[in-house]
Amino acid sequence: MKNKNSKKIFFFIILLAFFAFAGRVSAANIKLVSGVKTIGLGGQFYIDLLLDPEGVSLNAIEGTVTYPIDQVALLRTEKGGSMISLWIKEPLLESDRISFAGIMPNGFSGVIDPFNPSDKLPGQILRLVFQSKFSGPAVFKTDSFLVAQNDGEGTTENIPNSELALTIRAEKSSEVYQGQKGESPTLEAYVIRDVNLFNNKYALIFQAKDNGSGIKDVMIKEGDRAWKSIRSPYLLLDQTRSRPVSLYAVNYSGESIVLSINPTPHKFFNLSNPILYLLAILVLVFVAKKIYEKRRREKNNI
Amino acid sequence: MSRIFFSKKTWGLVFLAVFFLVPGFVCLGDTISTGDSLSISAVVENNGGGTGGGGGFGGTPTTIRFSGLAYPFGRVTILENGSPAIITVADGQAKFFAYLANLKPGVYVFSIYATDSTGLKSAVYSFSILMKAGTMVTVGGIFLSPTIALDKSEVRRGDPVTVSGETAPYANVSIFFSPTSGQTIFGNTASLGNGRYSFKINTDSFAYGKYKVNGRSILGKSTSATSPSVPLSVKLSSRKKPSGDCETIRGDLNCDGHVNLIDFSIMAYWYHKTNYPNKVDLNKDGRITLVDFSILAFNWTG
Repeated sequence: MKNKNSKKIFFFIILLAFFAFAGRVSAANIKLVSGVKTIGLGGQFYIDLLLDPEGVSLNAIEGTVTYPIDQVALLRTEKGGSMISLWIKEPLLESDRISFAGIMPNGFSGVIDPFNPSDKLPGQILRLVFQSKFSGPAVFKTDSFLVAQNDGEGTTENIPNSELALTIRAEKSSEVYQGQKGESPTLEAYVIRDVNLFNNKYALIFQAKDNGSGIKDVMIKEGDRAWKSIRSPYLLLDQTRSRPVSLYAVNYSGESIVLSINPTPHKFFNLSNPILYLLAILVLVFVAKKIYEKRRREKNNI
Repeated sequence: MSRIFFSKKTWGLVFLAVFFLVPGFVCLGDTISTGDSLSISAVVENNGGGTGGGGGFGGTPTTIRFSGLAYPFGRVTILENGSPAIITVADGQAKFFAYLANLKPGVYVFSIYATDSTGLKSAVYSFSILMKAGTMVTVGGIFLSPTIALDKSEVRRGDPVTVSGETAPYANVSIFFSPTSGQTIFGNTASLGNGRYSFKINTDSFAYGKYKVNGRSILGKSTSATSPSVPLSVKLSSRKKPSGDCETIRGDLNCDGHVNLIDFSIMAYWYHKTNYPNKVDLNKDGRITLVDFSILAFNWTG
């Protein structure tokens, strides 16, 4: 009888553990989705990387997508429609791997369709645009995906790998990918000094956004120096802050925005500088003294 | 062969366990809600009239409206894709209303939080929504969480601790003291006409250890979101909460009272690097990883 009860309890515990575990692993999944199943030789196509949080609020993600480098060429990665608004690591191509990391401030638990709010849709993380090179099957895979829950503790969870198989046909194709259309890019930038960044030196931090094709490049011009591509945070070369800084962002559609940041006035001429007030008082005293002496001389002459 | 079938009583227990546990685990991590009164609805504003502007369908702008409860004269901030888009002030009854018009069709991430008269912030409610051309989306019944503060960060067991904050006027406020392990202790109080509440509890019945303290308000049939958690340690001696401690907002690395692009940039600079400043490692695991970014993203204020 005792043995029978122990078995029941054991079975009960196993069942609880199973459901507890099942609840945790079913939290989110990653999908590779394409609008086409087959593509002709030389044709351009895209693959969307979608995140379905399955109702769980997630706020950070990192991972890698691999692609068949012999059969397709990566033309670009589009971030315009991404749920990631800040990139810890911009999508980086290394051989046949595109790796990235980013955050979704305050969490992402699926896209609400206001006409059907009970069903949440997956969100786009990246759009990868390819051009086919050789015919045959082409397999795209996700690898090492890690997400963090928006729970204030950063509870992380590995996401199972997924893959997408397409067929590249032997006949030639002239399909050209048109790109996602959106607004002109926007640019937000600050010059800051912080003890935790570049040893308290002047740094430029910025965020370029574009909800269409995505930001292609951000460049800086410091004073008379030439334009150059940068990433945020950027250590300013002109630490005197005496020269204007111009920032230029361009999206893949060719639309651009320029932002100018004025130099800061020289420290000496800053109104909070007490020496400036002392000097002003000295000048006033000097002038008053001169006037007084002049009047005295005039009086004595009279 | 041992029997794998159990009595009806055992199967009943199993059924009950599955029924109650599975939904609980599936919801794991979905820690932020706006309470149970939230409603999202949409209508197509295809009347051909409208006020013009971009993103329209038949001349009607795409608009989203927000309404709900915060604190009497509390400042309500609405972030659009992580950046502040609207700051409005609730009325004396804590009701707020705001809208964003002329939106381009696409997926938006909106985050809403309130700041009370002492500068404390509510939990952030965030959602992603698909805005279709020419639609008017209404997000109503938002009941933002109460703000919460303790008079001590460490309390000697047996001494009282006072929890205070703001919520809607004349609401019932439940305060929860959740230990790392063991049973949660809770108490109730009511807010005054100005929305302020205060709850004093003696810690005689508390075990030594660390607690997370948070609260929730009930007004009529509406329940608010749960407040941010504040830590409390029950020890052998008391310690007042340090004033001016910017670490009350985890992730506020430059101590400006906000968690935003600047803090993100500082952390991104130290991603996977060594010799980082101590405060950047938010979970104190000796590395700057996705977990630290997740904690920062959770506390994002824009």
